[in-house]
Amino acid sequence: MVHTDARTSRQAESSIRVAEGERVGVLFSSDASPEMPAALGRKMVECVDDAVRRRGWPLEILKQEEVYAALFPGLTPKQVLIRPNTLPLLVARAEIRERIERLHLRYLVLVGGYTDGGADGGVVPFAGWVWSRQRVDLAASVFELGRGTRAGSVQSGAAGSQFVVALMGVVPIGGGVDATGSACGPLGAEVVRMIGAPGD
Amino acid sequence: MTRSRRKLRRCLLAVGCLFLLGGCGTVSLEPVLVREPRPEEIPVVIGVHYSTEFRTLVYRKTTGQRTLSAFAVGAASVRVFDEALSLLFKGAVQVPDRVPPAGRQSAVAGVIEPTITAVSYWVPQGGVSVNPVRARAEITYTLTLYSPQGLRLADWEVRGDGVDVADGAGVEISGAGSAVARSLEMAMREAAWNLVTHFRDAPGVPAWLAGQGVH
Repeated sequence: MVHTDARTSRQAESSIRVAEGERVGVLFSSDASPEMPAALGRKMVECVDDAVRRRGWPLEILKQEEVYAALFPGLTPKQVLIRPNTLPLLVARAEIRERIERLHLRYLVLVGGYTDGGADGGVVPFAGWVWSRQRVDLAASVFELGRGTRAGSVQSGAAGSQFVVALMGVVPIGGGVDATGSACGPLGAEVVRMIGAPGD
Repeated sequence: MTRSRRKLRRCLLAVGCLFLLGGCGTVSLEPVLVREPRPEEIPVVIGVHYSTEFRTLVYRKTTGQRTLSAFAVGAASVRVFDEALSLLFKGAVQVPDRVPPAGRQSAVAGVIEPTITAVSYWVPQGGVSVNPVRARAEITYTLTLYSPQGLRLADWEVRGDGVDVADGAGVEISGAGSAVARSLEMAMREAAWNLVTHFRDAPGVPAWLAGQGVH
């Protein structure tokens, strides 16, 4: 038995518009989202990138490593503190502002969130059971890089559970809970809808 | 004994040694200092004094006679404080005492002495398999600022929290490079960031800075 439940919402704080030739960076920062496993953060970056590609828009996305390398050359990600409250400080620095302008980087999308889950199980004579559950609350915030302020945000969440019983000698049938997959794709799609096509 | 058997025996011995070291050895920590956003430099040279207790502090968790984990928190704190103060001040030099020798007092505008007030960590426990595993740590330092002549000018606390989120399957909890080690490193990184960011606002510091002609 598998059950998942997904929901998405978005909130625009100021108008978001990308001109032709401008780029958007997508980044997972464990400083901004310390409760999120890094692997899931990187998957979220891919979900946004995939959503742009599916639209077929001529919008260039700079991903994780490219953003760090372009904006903070010579520093490792741990040497840079990227949080909503440090972005205005970072973009105010002349060298970093110059790099942002040279790259035509207009927005930075910070992805993150929270996930929790676990499994419990037991064995009785001739049978065993496993109950597993997963909950994810994913979020993406779009920051305008002129001042480093938030222009909008998107949330996507999903919860799933699975209960499997197997009799001795019988292979249990069923897959794992993929609440992450249920929330990540819609999040990417919402981010792309919020940014819009270049030149619109 | 065949060559392959000898090889296997050597491998088993090596694995055994590593297991013992992992269980009993003191784990080194390598916190990374945040370099961006960069603080505005304070144009004076500061002295920093680390007591022997500070330098050598090892945080141990024990159960009965058995040490569960031991982390070299003091040595790592010295490294991260040296880097943080060098970033914040025009210069930072280690001094052997709170009061530098009479002939060298003019070389520094003051002396900072940190102490470790609290350190702790938590990992989830219980029968339910949790995924992801979150190791949490916190560290609190008390910093005291002295004049070059040894007069106490200010003291304040700097705290840092750290969390490491790891995939629950087979996560290493307390050895080198483990979830707990990473959470302690993150807590030290956060504390160093708080030190650098809020130094100018710490009680007693603005008056000292004004006395140095720094505004």
